[in-house]
Amino acid sequence: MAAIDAPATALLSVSNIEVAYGRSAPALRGVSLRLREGEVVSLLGANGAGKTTLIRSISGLLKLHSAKVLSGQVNLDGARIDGVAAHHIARKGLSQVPEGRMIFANLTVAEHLQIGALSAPVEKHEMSRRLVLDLFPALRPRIDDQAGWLSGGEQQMVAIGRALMASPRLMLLDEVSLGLAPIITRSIFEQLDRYRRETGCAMLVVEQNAKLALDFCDRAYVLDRGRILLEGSAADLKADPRVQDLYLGEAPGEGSAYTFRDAKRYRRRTRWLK
Amino acid sequence: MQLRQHLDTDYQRQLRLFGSPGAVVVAIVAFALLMALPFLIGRGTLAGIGLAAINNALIAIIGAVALNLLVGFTGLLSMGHAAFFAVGAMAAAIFGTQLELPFPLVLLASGLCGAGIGVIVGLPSLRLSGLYLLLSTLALHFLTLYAFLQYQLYNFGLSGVFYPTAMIGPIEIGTDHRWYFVLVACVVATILIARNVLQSREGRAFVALRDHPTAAAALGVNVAVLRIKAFALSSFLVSVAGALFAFNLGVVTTDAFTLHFVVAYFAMIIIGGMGSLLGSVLGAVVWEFLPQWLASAASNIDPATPVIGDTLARHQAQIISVVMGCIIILVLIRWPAGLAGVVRSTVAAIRSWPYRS
Amino acid sequence: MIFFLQLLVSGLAVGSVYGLVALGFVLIFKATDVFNFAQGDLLAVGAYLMFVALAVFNLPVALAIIATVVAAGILGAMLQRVVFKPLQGQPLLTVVMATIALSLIIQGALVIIFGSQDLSFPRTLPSSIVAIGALRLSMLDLIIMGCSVVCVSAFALFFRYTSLGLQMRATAEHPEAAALSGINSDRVFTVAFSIGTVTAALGGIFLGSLQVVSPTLSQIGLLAFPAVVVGGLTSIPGSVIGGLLIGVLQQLSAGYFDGAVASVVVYSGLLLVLLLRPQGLLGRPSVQRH
Repeated sequence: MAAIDAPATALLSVSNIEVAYGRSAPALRGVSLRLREGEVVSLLGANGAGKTTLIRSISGLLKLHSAKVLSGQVNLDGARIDGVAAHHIARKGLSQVPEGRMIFANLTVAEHLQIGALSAPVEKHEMSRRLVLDLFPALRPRIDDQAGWLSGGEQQMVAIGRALMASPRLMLLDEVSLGLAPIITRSIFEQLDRYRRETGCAMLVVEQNAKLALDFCDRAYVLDRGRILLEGSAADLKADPRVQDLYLGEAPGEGSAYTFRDAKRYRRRTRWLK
Repeated sequence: MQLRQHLDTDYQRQLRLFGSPGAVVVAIVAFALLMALPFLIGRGTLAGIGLAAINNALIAIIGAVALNLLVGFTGLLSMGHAAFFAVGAMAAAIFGTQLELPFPLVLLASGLCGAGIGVIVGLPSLRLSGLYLLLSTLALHFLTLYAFLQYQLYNFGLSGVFYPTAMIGPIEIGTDHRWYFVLVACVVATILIARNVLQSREGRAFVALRDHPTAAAALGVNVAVLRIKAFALSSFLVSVAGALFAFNLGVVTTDAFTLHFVVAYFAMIIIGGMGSLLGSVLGAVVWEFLPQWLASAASNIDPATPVIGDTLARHQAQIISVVMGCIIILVLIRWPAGLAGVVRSTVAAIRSWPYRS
Repeated sequence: MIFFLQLLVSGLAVGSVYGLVALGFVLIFKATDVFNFAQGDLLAVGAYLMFVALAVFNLPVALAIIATVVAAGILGAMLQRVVFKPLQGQPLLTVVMATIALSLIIQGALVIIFGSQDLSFPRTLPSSIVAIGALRLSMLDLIIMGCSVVCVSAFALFFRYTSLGLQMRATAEHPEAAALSGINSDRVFTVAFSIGTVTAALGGIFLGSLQVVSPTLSQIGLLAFPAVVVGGLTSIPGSVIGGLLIGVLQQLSAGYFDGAVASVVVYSGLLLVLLLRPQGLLGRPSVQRH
């Protein structure tokens, strides 16, 4: 479970950041993360672990939520982005599908795509639009409907489509499966996979649904109470008994060396992870 | 060193009027000062503030507490404040001047009238909230003033509505001195009523209504009834304040109840602190006294000084407006919790001094 | 009958002014979610700025209008930077109070600088009388109405079809999501405030030409609120239609009864609309799925 050393040409690198909201205790402590071009990385963790805070640190929304990076750096393509306004970061090739979708209820689907395309060069607009409607054909008949009237799954597609229109190099996906039926979630992830294979876009996926995330990504980090608990390739983490027990909900099989007492001990140890 | 207990451990403790022996001492000293104040000031002024201004501030406190109950604690944005003051004044004229009922009864009757009208206003408002409520109460403001004007012209004439001298039993409330004691009693009663309501089940439901009406409804709060109750309580208090205001002033016209009046009370609760009784008191005092202080400071500047002196002499009211406007914006940006918030954080900082990192 | 038509025309002219002010108001509200109580005072500022351009700088009328508009735009941008940017994200009452405080400041400042007496423009827009049958129409009224139509159409098209207009609508609805999509919300807000102030200033120029320039212009500007509500808080064409309706209603009531009754009629109308159809004539009820 050794940390993977990424070469200096990482697309995104988060170095040892400490983030706090207002004057409270830090929500993230000494968190480091690396992402290369075209990689898919997952962020796993329970509620309150700090996943959304980490995403906000990358996309530049901390200030809006009265939070700050107290120490450490966040770099996109070598350039420092912590403390930079969100719309500047978006124009550098970073797109986000935020938690809860955050769609514009009174704007039509077409207008969402138009907005998403703001950060992309004009030549690419038509192509991106066709690609999005290809990936999510369910949106075609609803293209002129106000987004507020769409179903949850369709809204998620709109949110993703909006992010895709920018032809991003890195996409942040925050809890895409939230509130969606499993079959729709599966279909959405399949389309994301297809997009990634066609365009080579890197993705940082925050998911509560660990199984889905680990099936989808190349590497993953596990966040717990503001710190990185584990990191490794998807295969390694899937086989890790701790991950299996705590996040995948699979009981250790027959003959597994990981007993109930081990789990209790682990939990007791991680309680002092401060 | 024992960290003094300032967290209530049960409901009984929270209900107590005096949290600790220290609080009782403070209350006694404050009471003594309050009683002595009029004798100390006499006919003169204390830092530019005369007894008349203090009386105005006392009435303002009642109005501010009532507004805070409606806006700060229950979240109902209403611009009808001046209108309800006018209702109180009108009721006071009907019961006091025309029907010549005894003063305490006039106060009660005015309050009940106000409460009744508050209920009537509250009913259609059930369909509106936020911005729309604000606008509808604005409309109400103009309509009520028109009604008051008609009442005034019909019954009294152009010079205004007249009020007799207030009488409590055989005692004539004719001087600022006597008004002071009556008003202090009213203010204390108002604050006690407000405090008790806020700590009751209803009062907590008010706050729930402000913070999250849907969740409140899910918890069994009857939103409609509660809104009406909030309007009724607030209007009762405001109308009583209106009656006191009218009797104190002696003559009232619609000029007293402008939009500026509404703005002034909103400024009071914002500067003082919304959702806080202490805030209502502080805000009312500051709003009433600051212009006096500014005026007395301004009068020290010789009117002969080139630009400033002349401007100060001719447009004093406007300068005060501008200054107060700037203060409001400053407070909104810098101290959104108002003076009460500043007081609270200062006290908390002092209390936790040895423990801060 | 003639009397009625005259009142109607003057009502439409005055209503156009309300419509312009209401337009600026709706623009600011749609783009920044700020309920600008000081919109009527910005009308007064526009009138006084025009006065300064004409009487102090002695500019010809056309140039004076341009100068006033530019100055108003800059003022709007400054107001946004200094007052509203720090208050972003605060609850409704806070923002409303800030605009009310602004109103206090502007009203006080205008009296301090200009005094409270009535002033009039030394040179005005063409105000010759045009006769149509027995009707006597003022060229001024017609110019005002024409200008308002042009302005409204321009803004409606702007909001619906341009990129900046789309950005404004998105930012108004969800500032966070807009920022994530690369929209510079700060720039959007500044533009919105500038345009809103400019339309109010235009209204002030027109009203100052129709009447006199005095501090009471702020009170008249207050009537833009019923206009906005009747038309629909979120509808641009609605704001102008609302303005026209309110203007006509006001003039008719003032003509047949008196000024005080006119006020009552207008505000009763406002109440009725709020109770029966809060989104106004042309507004869309807001979409809320949850």
